[in-house]
Amino acid sequence: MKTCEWFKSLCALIMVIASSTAEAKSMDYTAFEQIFNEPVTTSVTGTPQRASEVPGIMEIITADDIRRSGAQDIPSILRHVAGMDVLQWTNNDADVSPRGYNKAYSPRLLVLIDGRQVYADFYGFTPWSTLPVELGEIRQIEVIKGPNSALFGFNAVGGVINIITYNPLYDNDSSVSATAGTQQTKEGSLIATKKMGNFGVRIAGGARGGNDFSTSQPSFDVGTRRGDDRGEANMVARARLTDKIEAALEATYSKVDQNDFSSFITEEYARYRTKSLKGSLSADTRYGLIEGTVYRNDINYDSYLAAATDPITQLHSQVTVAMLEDSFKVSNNHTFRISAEYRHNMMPTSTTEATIFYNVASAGGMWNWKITPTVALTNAIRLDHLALGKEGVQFPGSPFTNSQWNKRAFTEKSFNSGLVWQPSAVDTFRVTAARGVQLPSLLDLGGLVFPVQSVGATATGTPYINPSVTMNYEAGWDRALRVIDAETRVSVFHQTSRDLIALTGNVVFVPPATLLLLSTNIGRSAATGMDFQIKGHFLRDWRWGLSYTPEFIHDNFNVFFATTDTDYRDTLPFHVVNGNLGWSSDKWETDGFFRYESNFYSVGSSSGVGSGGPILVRIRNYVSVDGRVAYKLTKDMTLALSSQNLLHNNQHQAVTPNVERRVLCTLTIKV
Amino acid sequence: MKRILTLLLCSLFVMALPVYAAVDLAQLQIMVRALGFLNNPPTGDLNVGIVYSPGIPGSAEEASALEAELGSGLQVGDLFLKPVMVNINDVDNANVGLFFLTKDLGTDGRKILAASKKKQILCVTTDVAQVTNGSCGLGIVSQPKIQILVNHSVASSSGATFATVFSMMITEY
Repeated sequence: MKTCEWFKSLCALIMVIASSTAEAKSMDYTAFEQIFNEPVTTSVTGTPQRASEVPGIMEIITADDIRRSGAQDIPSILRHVAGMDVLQWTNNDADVSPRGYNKAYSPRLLVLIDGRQVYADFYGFTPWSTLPVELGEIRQIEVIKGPNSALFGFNAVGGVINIITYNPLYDNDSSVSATAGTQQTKEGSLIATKKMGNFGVRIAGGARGGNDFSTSQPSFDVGTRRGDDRGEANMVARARLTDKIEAALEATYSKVDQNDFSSFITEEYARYRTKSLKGSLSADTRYGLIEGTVYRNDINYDSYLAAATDPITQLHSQVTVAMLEDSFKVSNNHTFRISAEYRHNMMPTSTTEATIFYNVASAGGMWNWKITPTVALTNAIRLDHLALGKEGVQFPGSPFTNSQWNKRAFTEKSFNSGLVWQPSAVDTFRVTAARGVQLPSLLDLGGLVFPVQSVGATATGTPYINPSVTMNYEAGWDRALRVIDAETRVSVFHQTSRDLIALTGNVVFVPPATLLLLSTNIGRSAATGMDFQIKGHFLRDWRWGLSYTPEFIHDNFNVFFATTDTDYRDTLPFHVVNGNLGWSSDKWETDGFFRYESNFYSVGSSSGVGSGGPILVRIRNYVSVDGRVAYKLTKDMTLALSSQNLLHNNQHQAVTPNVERRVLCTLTIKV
Repeated sequence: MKRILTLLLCSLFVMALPVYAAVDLAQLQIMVRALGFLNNPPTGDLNVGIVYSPGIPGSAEEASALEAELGSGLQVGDLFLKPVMVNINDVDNANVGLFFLTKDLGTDGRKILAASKKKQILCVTTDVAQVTNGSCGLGIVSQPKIQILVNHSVASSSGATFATVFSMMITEY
């Protein structure tokens, strides 16, 4: 009901503004790319910019890159990107984090689809398999390394991934595909786009079934492999209501059953159900491009330990977001964006009749100043005010009362500053500084109430946990080497994070007889590293790339218990090298990718959840190779053979059972 | 040997001849795509007036070369471009929906401004000087990288205003 009222108010406001003014056209990525001969993005400043001019360190993975990767999911694509850490836990569960700090249910990367958050606030992570999007719908994946909370708000601390899909008003990406492969994989995907004058609609869906890897599991995890199933459907409709106004409506649903490696450092069989509804309206007015968006996400998550038939946790979470923004240019050299946002998050606590919630009111602004034709300075700032709340009963022995939640509020500021200097046609220098804020998850804030019977304790959260703050400083240099038709990038960064958060990271005894495993702030950490990349073409049909991303992390934790299951220093491979080589002809397309990771440790459990301590397991350095060969049977029909971990039957890449080779055969028909 | 030398010299001579159309056609296509961001974008068939000055050496040849490139027409996005040769001295009578001003028209280029205003037809060009000096509404620079330049007042006076998302991507005067 609240959402409906918000939406009506937003529509009315925009209609009033637009009715008095002029003109409109929304972001047409395809047209911009054809005009400027390079990808265009809005994910760094909120306003359209060429990829080469953004005041941040960003990678854009194009639809061609996605196709050539041969990947069946997004983490497998991100694995080929410099500076992205990907931990493949099971066949369908992976965690991704930019520049280290990766762990099970990794919280520091904010993921969005067309600006709608798909990051799950209740646990504070992104369940990648649940993302309601087919790979064929994706126009580009925008990867921003480093904080960007000043644009996207909380949780954009390690980086942001904004997945941009094709726009049915401008693009036709209709296709049908079928895949079969190892692990009994069977997958089908359908994308149907229809444009009728000023109205465009796309309906897409896909289903995938298969098995988890068959490599040996610890005895306490046996039973979690009950078959992997993923299904999703989504619909987006866009309409140009007048020359001045465009509207969009999106609805999604996904259903995933799979073997996960959870933040309790154990394998669990997880069942996810997600749904979302989003409406947006944009109007091009004399006051600039005004856009209003309202959306709601729902997620249900049940998890099962080993062969248990009853779920160990059943969680539900809901987030409602309303955003209003205005982008305008006051002269040739000054572009501004102002924004306001309201969000309401809630989840029932896991085992008692109570609800944890918070409301966030935000305001932000961005100013892009072209100081000279070759120098641009961008500053963005955002304030988020969060008010926490709780309703319902406390669990027996709880030291907290609801009023402690209801009185808790705080305001956090984020900023992004970037100076871009393009002294010549081939050189771009960037210097950036950013402050990002990671919010404790709803579980950290008290949504978790989990009796750990083996030690007679209750794992839970607290209203007094603080957000984690990350500062990032970076300097980068891009140079085009025209002699060899290549582009290089060198950047160095230093990042500090304070008040890092660990779920159940602290042990507290509450007299007379309550033992709590509380979420807590565990201390500080600092990371220093660099990106070196070179990519290019030769002999017209060949493409290649090479990157090296060394990084060092120093942790300074002050909570003893947490230090055993949170270890960012040792879980980071210092040396990571990515490379790729590809070749295309009229009929053939072939690509190979390799990734080298030096030794690191992975956090695991000695004997299952709640009954044993965390342990560090050494992962020896390894090289993994992925590849794809495709042949065009006709102009619109392609047959492709792709593989991940091509070199080994199975390989030890994380603390979980070895990752197996995957081989997939896919037939795609463009419609 | 003499034949070879003659052939070589002829080849060098041919290579040294000015090549107008190839570059202009690519740039014209980009500019036409930019028209999609006009608040009242043209649709369907679009007669493109290739404006030349008979008094300037090479101008008519450049225009003819572009006309030949376009042939009987060229599809760019939703638009079908049809070339029409337009003498700068006769722009008032041209039945076109877009003026494409060829290069190096110098002060002759000023003549297009009045016609653009009167007929409410946007002028586009690869000759950036004609944009900065206020003769033509939209220009393109393709080296070292593509840049779109819009003379805001000239474009507005010819009835052309652009969407905000586009104006954020271009250089305006």
